[in-house]
Amino acid sequence: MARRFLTTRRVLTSGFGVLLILLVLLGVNSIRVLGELRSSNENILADFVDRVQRLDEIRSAIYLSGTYIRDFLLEPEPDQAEQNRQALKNSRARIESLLATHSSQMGDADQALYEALRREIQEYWRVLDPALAWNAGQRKKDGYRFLHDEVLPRRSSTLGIADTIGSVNRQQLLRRDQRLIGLFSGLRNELAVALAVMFLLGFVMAAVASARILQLEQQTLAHLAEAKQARQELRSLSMQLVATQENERKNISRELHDAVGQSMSAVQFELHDLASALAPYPKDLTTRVDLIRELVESSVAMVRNMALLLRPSMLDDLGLVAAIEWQSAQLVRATGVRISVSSDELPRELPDEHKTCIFRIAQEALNNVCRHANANSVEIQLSAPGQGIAVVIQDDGRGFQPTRSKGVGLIGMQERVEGLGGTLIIDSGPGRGTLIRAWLPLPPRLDPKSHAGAIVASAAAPREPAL
Amino acid sequence: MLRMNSVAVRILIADDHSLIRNGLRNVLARQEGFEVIAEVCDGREAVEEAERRMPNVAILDIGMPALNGIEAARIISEKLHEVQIVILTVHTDECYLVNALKAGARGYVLKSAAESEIVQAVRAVSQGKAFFSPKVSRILADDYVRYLSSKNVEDTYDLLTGRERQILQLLAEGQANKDIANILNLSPTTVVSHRQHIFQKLNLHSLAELILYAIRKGVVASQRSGCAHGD
Repeated sequence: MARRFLTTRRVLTSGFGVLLILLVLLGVNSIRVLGELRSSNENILADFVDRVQRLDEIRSAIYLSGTYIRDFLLEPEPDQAEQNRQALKNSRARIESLLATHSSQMGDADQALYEALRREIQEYWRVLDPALAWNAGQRKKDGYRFLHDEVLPRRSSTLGIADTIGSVNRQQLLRRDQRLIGLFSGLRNELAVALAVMFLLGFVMAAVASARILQLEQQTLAHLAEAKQARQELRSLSMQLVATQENERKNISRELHDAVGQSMSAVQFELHDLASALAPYPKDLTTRVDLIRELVESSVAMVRNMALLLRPSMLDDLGLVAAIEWQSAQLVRATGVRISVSSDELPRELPDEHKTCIFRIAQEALNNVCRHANANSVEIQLSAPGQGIAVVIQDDGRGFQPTRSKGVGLIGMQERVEGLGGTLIIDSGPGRGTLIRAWLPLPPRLDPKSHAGAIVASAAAPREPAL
Repeated sequence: MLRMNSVAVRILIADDHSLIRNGLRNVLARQEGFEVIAEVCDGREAVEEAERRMPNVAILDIGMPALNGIEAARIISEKLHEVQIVILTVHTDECYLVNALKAGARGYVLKSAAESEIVQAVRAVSQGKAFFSPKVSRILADDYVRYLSSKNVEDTYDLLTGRERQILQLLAEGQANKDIANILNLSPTTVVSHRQHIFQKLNLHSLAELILYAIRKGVVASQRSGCAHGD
């Protein structure tokens, strides 16, 4: 059950699908977080710089106001004193405005501190205010004392608060920085985990896929080997069948010849004797015996033709060339087609299988010519090239399409030729006749041609009577 | 003539069927002047026995195991020129006859008529003449006539002079040039020249072809009384 659900397709799709989705999610998330981190970082930095700057400005304004107050209190000249007072006013206004802008960008923790600072600054001004109205004489008298006893301590404590604020800012910066580091670590861990998970998943997928592929490969190779073996067995079976068939034909042919021939010969002998025995009797008896002899003759001839059709005895008795010549002569007689048979010197002893195969090819080709080709002439060429034996049959008939309709006979020929390790080429096309070329390799022998040459040469010249 | 009267004709029979061998032996043994010296049943034995016993005439069946009659004839006629060969067979096809002649056989007898013809055949070849079953000649002649008429080819026989026809017949019967000269009262050179003409006119290339031609034309007298021409 589980096997059916877990088809290869499902496993692969879900496995790789999950992997890819994880990858995408991880990527998107990381980019987002990194973006956040960067902008946070920028903000924090900008904020801090801002605050430090403002605080510095407040501080310097307070220092400046201190300087102005001192100048005012110690200045005898009324004009200069007025200038200082004015400057002090400006300074105060500036501090007020700085404080105002600042308060608008504060967190709650800061709020309290800044309130404290503000109050201090208010006190500071409150203490200063009466002194601002003093004239030159008062200033001369109490100026220094006022400065020393009232202003400076006030200023110090104000600045102290400012310092506190400064350190609070720094702490806040550190805190924020820590938070960023925390976010970053979080992201890093997330990445690590996700990568580990993806690696594992990828590994598992790879293992599963590889195992499956290897399994399939093994199966395929096994199937291939099986198929190859089956084909080989088929071929060997087919060759065996052919051999059996030819043997059968040879045997039947010979049996027909011998058995029928022998018994008919015996009959002829007897009839001959009978004819002699009937000599003194009226003529019509011997005439009838002669008639019987003729009937026997024609029966023998019929049987002989059947036997030759099955397998011509010439093939075994007189050789391949003679058999092909005989077959051609039969066809010439039947159809009037011109057939020419020519042959190079062939090895004397051709193995039976090869001889029969070449003969059957020629026979099939000639039959096809008669049945289909409407040819005027056929040329048959036998030769023995390259340690083998070859036959070429060319006709000038109608031709056919070898790719489309090869015919059972020719397919059988191809099987036979290939079974003996040879090649069969059929070259034909509508309107350009047919060329059949077959070649079979011969088993190696001690140079048969020279052997054959000697015998053929001497036998070719029948014994000439002495001149 | 000398041969016939004093020394018996020694005969070797080669056939793989005992019935045939027995029949032949009986027929030949009944003849005066014939002696069957050996019987074998395959081609290889035929060659060996012929080498060993040197018969005058060897009767060979074609369809024998080990080595067929044609091959045996080829070997015997090549090695042992004195042995005359008669082929005994059921085959009437021209290709068999041609191959038999090429292999050196002088006689060609059909098994169906063996009993009646074998004696004539043996006698003829032992005298250096040729013998062919009349039926074979008839078949071949019929074939040839049919062939000629179907092709509307002129009968080349008409090209020969009377003298040439005579010489053709004698050649086909196996007479040597010298003997022909004697028979026809010509000089040997004349005979040779006629012979060349015959070969040219009839487009023949070997004695075997000439014999075949003669058979086809029916000019080979195959049913002679068997007397030597010198009688």
